[in-house]
Amino acid sequence: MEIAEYLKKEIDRLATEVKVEEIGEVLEVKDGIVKISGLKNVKSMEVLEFKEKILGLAVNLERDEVGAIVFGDYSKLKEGDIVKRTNKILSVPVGEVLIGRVVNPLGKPIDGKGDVSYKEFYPIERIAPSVIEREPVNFPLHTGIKVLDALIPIGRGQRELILGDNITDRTGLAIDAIINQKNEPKRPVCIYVAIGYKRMEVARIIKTLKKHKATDYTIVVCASASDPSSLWYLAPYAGCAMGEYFMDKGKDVLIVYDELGRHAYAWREISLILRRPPGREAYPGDIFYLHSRLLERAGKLSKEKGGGSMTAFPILQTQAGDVTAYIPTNLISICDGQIIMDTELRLSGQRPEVNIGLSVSRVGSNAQTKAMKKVAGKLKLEIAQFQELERFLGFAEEVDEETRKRLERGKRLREILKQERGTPLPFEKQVAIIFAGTRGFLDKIKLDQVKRFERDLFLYLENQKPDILRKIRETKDLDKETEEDLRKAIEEVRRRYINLTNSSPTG
Amino acid sequence: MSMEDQVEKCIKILDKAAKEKEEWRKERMIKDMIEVLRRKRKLYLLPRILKAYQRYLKRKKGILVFAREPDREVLEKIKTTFRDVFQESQMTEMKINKDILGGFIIKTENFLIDASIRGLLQKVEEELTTYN
Repeated sequence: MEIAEYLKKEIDRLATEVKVEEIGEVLEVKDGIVKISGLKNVKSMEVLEFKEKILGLAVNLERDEVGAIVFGDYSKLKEGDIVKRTNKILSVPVGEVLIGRVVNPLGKPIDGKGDVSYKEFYPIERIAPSVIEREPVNFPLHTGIKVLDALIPIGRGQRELILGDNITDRTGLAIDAIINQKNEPKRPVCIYVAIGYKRMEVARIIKTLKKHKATDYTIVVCASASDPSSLWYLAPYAGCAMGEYFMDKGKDVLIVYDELGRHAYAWREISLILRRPPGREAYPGDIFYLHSRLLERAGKLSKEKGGGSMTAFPILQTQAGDVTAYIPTNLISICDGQIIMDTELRLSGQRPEVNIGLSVSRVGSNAQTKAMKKVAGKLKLEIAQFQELERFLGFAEEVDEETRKRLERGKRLREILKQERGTPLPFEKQVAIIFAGTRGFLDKIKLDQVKRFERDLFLYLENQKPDILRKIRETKDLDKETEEDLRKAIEEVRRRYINLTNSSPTG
Repeated sequence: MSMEDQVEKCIKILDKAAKEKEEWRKERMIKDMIEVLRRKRKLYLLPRILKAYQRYLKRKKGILVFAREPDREVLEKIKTTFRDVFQESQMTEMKINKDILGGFIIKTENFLIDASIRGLLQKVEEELTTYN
């Protein structure tokens, strides 16, 4: 009886009046793209509804036809099927409930943890914040990777492109940056957008995030290799919309688009099937705008707008190290800097394989902490000089004393910048070891013992002199007193090494 | 003039021809049009014109579906309202489909009015099965 009453109540509640619905008819279906007649008043980027609740998006409005991309199983559609307008611009669910979840680009959870009740939706496409709504990048985003934080510093609100060949570990670098946010004082919400990756690879990335407890503050948006190109196209915009929600609330966001080359392929595929005129490398004319409008949505908002920020790490795979190809040059010009991963460095054992000479950060140095600025100021110059010398003196047997010293210091500096995957380092420890390297404390330590020295130094500082690390962490500066304490601590550890190995400067 | 414009002009001629009452006039208009296309070496446009004209006719056509034969009075009333609302289309086809159970459905190229019992039941099903 109760159930019957409930049903009756529900039926009474239903809106049963007849409405005029605006419709169209499917003319052609090909590879996820549908041509539709009718839909007279449809708007660009409006959501369309096909049979069996399959959704689509109107992307091409022509005189007599509408071109739409389909988000579901397009093989179920056939000529003559009815398509309905929804009068809605494509939106994705947003909010705190998404944190820790893996969702598809439409916001549907795919991690098997059940449905989520959403309260708010954000449009997929949104105009980026205007000039007056922004402010310069002024707060660092520590990645935990020494070579980045010291030489290519990134600020919150920056767009830093990571590019390299297939062999290089671009994803690993971005994942390490996400993992490092765990202990950051003003922890950003992290969003990882996987575009066109195999599900196995995405599962591996999620496992890594879980292992480091990074899923507590991370959202994963996944358009896997088996998803239609429409979802690949949508994924970064969906991730961005999810990030904008937090940015509008005054929070910081770190978003990784992995990777935008596949995103460009997806849009090229869609555009060619829609018969849009192909341009260079068969990409459509709006390929630059495709990425510029996405990355322009990242940035640092002014205090009046809440002061939130969105830092973007777009990732791009290059072919044979060619950074002058079409998509790489587009992205390099859009972003505020690039991290170039070098195949040769990787093969020579350097980790992370970042090419220091070609990588730049155009705005991040303004946000670098005073402590890091003080210790890393000389680092780039010394490394550059060392690389130059090494190249010219590769075959020389005898060199003068000054040159030999520079070479030895360069080798040690390169050694301290090496860092294995999944081991992001707190900024205060980075300051300590780079200080030791640039001030010549490592010059008399054997090259193969530098890594061990680094570990011992951290242990000593953590156990014997925790105040030094605390002071650097809290003040973000290296004042005279702390510098002196650090110098003494390094000297203490170094003395043990020199006594232990009883070695003279290595040569 | 773009290809689309040329096709559209031809459709206008065909539409005008279709409205002619005398057969010989219709035939002459179509022959004249084909002769112009031939002289201008545009005969390759004919399949495109045919396809576009078929689509044009479909667009103009409205379909009315009933579950059973309606009263003449009801039919006239629906037809009048239909003409008033969808000025671009004429109701040229009426179908009987028992599957809609009752009521009626009007369908043109751009609009759909589902006032059938089946449509109503589908709405109820949707409402009861959708999780909010």
